Amino acid sequence: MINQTGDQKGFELNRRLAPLFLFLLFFILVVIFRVLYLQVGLGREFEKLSAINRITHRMVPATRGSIYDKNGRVLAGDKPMFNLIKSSARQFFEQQKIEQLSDLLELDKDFLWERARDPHRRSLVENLTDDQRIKFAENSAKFEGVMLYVQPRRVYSYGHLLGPVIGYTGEVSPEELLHRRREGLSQGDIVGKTGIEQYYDRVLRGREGLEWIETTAAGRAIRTLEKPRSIPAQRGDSLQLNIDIKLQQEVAGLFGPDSAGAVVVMEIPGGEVRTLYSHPTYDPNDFVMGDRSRIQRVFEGRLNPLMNRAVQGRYPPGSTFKLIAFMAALRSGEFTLETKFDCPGYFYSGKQRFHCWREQGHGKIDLEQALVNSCNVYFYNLARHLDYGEIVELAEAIEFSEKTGIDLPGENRSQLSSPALLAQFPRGHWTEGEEINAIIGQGYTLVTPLQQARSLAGLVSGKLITPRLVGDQSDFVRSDQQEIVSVELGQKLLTAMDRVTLEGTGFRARFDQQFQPIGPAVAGKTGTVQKTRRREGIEQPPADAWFVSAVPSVDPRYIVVVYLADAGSAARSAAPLARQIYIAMESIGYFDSSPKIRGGK
Amino acid sequence: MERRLAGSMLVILALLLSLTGIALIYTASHRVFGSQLAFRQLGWLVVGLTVAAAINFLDPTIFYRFRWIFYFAGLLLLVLTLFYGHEARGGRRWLSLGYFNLQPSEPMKFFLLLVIAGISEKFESARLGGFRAFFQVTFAVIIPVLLLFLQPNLGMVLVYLVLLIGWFFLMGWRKEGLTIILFGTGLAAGMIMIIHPKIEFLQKTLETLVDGYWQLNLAIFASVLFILFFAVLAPYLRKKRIGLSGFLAVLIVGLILGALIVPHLAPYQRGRLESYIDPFSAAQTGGYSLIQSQIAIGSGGWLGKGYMEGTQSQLGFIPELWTDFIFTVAVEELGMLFATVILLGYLFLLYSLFSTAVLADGWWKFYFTTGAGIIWIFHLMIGTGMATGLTPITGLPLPFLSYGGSFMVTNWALVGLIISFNRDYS
Repeated sequence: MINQTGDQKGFELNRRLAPLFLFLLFFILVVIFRVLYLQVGLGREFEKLSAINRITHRMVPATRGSIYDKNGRVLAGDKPMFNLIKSSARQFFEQQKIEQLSDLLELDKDFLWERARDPHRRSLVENLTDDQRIKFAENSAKFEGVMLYVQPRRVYSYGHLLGPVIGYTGEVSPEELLHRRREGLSQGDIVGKTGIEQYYDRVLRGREGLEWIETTAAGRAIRTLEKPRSIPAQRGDSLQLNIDIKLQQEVAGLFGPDSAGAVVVMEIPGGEVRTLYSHPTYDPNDFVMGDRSRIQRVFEGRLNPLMNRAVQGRYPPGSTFKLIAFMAALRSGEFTLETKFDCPGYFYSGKQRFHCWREQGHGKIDLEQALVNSCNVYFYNLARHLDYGEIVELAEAIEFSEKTGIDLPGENRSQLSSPALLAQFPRGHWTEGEEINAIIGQGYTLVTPLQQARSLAGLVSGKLITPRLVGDQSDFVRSDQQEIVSVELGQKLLTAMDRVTLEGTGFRARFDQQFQPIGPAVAGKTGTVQKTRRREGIEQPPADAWFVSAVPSVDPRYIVVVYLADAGSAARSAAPLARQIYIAMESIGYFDSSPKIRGGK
Repeated sequence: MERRLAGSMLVILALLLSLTGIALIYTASHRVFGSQLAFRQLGWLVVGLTVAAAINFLDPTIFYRFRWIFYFAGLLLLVLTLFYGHEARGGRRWLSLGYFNLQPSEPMKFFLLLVIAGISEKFESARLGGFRAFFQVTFAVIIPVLLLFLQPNLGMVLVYLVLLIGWFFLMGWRKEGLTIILFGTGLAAGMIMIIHPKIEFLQKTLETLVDGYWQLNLAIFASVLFILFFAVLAPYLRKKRIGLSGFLAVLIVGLILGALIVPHLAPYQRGRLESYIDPFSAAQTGGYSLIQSQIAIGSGGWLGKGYMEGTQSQLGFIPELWTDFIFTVAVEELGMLFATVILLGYLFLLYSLFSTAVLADGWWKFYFTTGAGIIWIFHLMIGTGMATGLTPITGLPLPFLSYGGSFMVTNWALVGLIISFNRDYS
């Protein structure tokens, strides 16, 4: 037969099939050698392992980096904590076993059962007491699939003081796992949830290690293996904050139990944030310990302790906005410090009547006096004669409606009342009334305390300053950055603000009850924010109070911003509180290297 | 080899492998299913033998004449699977037919071979130009590949594509085959390069690029197409052969595309790749069964731990032991020597198959027989390679040995038709 095609063809066919067959031969040899390698190379070790035991791996948690304050005091460190975890998040348990476990450890049955069934959590019980740990260790053989797990636990040495600033850590949530899958997170890992812990999570977290262990059939670990190789855990990097915990402590001491507010102390020109306090606050240790009743209390807190008012709270700036109006007027070149307007105590825009806070009026005053006495009518006139575009332009230059760029998650953007903003509202349109409201900070303008600090820093130093909790802003300064206002104008502002505390509305920031000067000379401005229009017969809710300041008033090195909710007149609330802060700063030694300039004349 | 001898050897070896398979399936599955799976497999063997006998009884020209009808019937089954198939293990691959489930991608192999062997026959007898034959073969394979891709069934897609590449070599189009292999190699190398844990920085850089600058992606993609066109397609269309620079270009294009695909992979796909590159670091996810399989094989020794005595296999550390990891069971329980015997069995099986092919009287028979060989070789590669950690996990059963009804019957149908070529009509 051989074929109709002939011998030539047969040769050709063999030539085509030969590579295929040789390839098969080659591959079979490779497989045989691979099997030999597995048996001789790795096999010896494997043979022993598979004989009676099994090997498994376990994660070695990395210790989180510590957090220090500017003077090296430990703000967040680690202590060993003993937890019970499931061998995998989806581990199945019989209800009866869980009840036995809860009886043994004297824990809430429902709570434990809920945890046992949750397919997204590995952890069963956190932070065992020594007693519970010993009880479990003695009976661990009964509870297959439950393991004792030593985990470094976060300890926040200053509890409430840093609450929302430092944040807290917790088990990674399914959403976070999804969003951050590229970071190599796995179920049961501990990550930063808010604040510094979240923002710098990648720095602090370190790298989880892995070790191979030999276990008995019941899952009890016998020994750690040399082979396959273990991967040691890497400790996370430490972090030094700019926060001065001592000053933070002093500031926190100034707040009463039922008050709410925020304080920012920022160094210029570096932007280092020395104090960032929001009141009321919470103790992050409660979250780490998983203390449910305490966490509940935090969530139900009347004044929302979870909120970091300094970076998330947005409030009308009130008269502190006059600083921007003042600078915009001077910068436009159409106004000088001597430009005068008459204040009879009221002002008409069309038929609408606007009041000055002083009913009898301030008389004929110039721009500087208007700022010193916080005269509304003068600024109403300014609104009428100054193009509002000048204010918008200056606000843009100091990035008023941007985020400040502080290294914290969840910062809110401030907003400036402007024709552009109102155009976004359904029926909003820009009128002289709006402009009059805006210029004294009562309109749609909203600002965070931190943004207040940044704006003032920009106005007095002429440069944009980014507040930082870690490092200074040298990494952020653009070499091409232009001066936003001239140094000369900044000096004029400081002189006027110095007069505010010397003879104007902010004098309580500089003088004690006996009118004796105390503490350093300070350049400041008050702001009192009425929440409703004044009307007859209706009791007004107390106003919010601001005090923004640069200290000392000559060559200022610190910006101090105080915001107090429902505190009434700023002159009587925020200003004296600010004074207490300066005194604390002075006693800690903040002004030691600068020439002493006492308060009085 | 004499033709009849080759045919008999083929049948005997296939039968021996099938019986060994049933024994292995029993030890692998009796803890979970008792003797159920082994008995079912025995049933499938009987069905397979019956089908083979029936086909052998018929005149093979019937299959030649109606090859397109078979092909389109197969495609129809694949389309039906997409809509009515029942879903399991992340894909719609099976059609429920009362007592059993049919996996249409298995018989499709048979039907596809009928058709592309027919095209190649026309080419060899100069009734079809090389250019048209090339495209007809390619299309005939690509259509079922697309349907399989939709299921999705990655393992089977690979089987069909490898068949296509092998076919190019068979038809003497070595450069075309080489082009595709180089492209595939480049693609794989690119992906591995990016995903390898030791060069993490590359991965990070790429991810920022891909995430942040879509214009850049577009530019890379456009230039990749540009290179591909001018270095490969343009000379080809002008009927010039591709030069060395063309091959190099194909490799580089594959490399770039491979690297670019990585950030777009679904997490589970990426996990598979990672566990292949470094099973120990991915031990928690996909690498687990890979490691356990290697431990089992490594602990087998020369003679194994004894039938039904394998600790790793018996304790259920490895999932789907009776399909994709049947080789593992063989090595752990019956040892290195027995595994070598099995591999030699496959070697002789294919040797006798190729002998039948060379001796066949006609191109259609030659191509059909060799095509079956290519498919079996690839199954063998992936089935043993995965168990020993040589190839990525994409799950392919071993012919005759692994559990699977559609697979068993299809393989026996192939054997039936191939030995029917031996009956002398001249």
